[in-house]
Amino acid sequence: MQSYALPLFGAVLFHVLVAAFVMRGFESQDDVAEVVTPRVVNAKLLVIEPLGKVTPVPEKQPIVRPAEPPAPKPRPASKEVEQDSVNSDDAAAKAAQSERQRKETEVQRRQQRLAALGELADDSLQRSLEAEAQQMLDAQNAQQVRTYQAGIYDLVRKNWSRPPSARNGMQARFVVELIPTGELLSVALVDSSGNEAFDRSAELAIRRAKRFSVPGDNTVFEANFRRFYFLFRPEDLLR
Amino acid sequence: MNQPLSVYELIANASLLVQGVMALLVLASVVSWMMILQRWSLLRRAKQEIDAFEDHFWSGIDLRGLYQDLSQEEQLNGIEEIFVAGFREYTRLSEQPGVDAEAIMQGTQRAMRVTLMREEARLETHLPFLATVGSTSPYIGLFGTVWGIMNSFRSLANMTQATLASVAPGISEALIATAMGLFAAIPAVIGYNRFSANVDVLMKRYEGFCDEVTAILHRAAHASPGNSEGT
Repeated sequence: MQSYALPLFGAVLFHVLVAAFVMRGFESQDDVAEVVTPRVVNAKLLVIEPLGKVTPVPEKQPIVRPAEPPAPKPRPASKEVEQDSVNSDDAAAKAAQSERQRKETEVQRRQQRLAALGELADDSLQRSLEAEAQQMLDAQNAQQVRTYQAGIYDLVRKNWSRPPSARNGMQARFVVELIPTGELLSVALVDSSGNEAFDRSAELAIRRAKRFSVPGDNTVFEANFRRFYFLFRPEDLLR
Repeated sequence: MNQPLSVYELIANASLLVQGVMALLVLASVVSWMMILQRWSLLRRAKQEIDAFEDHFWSGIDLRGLYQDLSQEEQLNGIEEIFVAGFREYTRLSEQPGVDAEAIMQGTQRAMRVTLMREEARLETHLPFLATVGSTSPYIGLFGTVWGIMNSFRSLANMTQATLASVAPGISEALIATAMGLFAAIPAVIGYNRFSANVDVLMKRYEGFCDEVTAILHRAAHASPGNSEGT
């Protein structure tokens, strides 16, 4: 039995070593697996200035221009009258009257201006409120639009098989027209990449998709998806 | 399932039966490695002994003198024991009167064959164990794996939404049993094949040595009665 002591010790040692190695090897493998996140971006869909867009132009700050003082028109005339007139009283009375008149008109004008200013202020407030609401709506819509854009982008990317002649930096732009159900109406090449095979493959990718999912909201559809540009630009190729 | 699965966790979470299978396999692996190491050193030593003894034997030494030297020693190794057994039988029989040469040689051969058998048994001990581990432990591991996968699929049946993540750990832990089975089986099979081949080679050499000793003694046995009759 003595002759078994050493082999037993050796066997146990060997197994302990193997166990330690396996435990450590397993975990380090997991670390590596966590880091790897493959990048699968191979085309870019850019919806650039959709054509039929009803542009909610960003509200400009309402500018309230300081009203210029109205030209003092009647005054020089009255002065001449004053100088020329022999009947100074009459002239004085006339002058006083005209002066009054002038003041009245000035007050009126000032009131008018004030009213106008107030109106302007009211208007600007209301407009900014509206703008804010519009902005929120826009943000919502933009979110929705982005989601649908991503869907369209994925669909086309899946259908796109690039020809071997495709190179990084090539780009082809198409204008795509859809009907409100999302079905494809037409595809037209706008900017060619210069490589016919590349253009054809890109066009085929859009045609293969046939039907895109588009927002049900008609205004959003009209604004963003009725007609849009589609840009194909591979960036992940090796060459 | 965010944290990485460690082997330890997988084993700890396995079902009781699978754990039992794993324990059995680890035990089998340890024991078979122990056998492998022990056999390896024993067979290597036997080979060294046979080399040394054959060198000594063919160096032209007097056989009677060699026998007397060896019978003084208390610890004899395999090949020495074969020689001593044969020679002892030969001297004992040839000292008895009225025993002819054939009877002496038969007795000598029988004595050597008995020792040879004992030696073969000594060299081959534990080899059947290695063979058993090598042939059955993959099946034992497979049994554990099948059991574990069975359980993980059965738990999958109760779920409404079946995902890969819900079965993967179960299958992974079940597959450890197969891995262990293979881990135990591969060295055992290699060890068994290698050692049985080594034992065969050693036995051939023992048998050859026996035949040579028999030939020498046969010559002596037939020479001595012829001499006595002649004189």
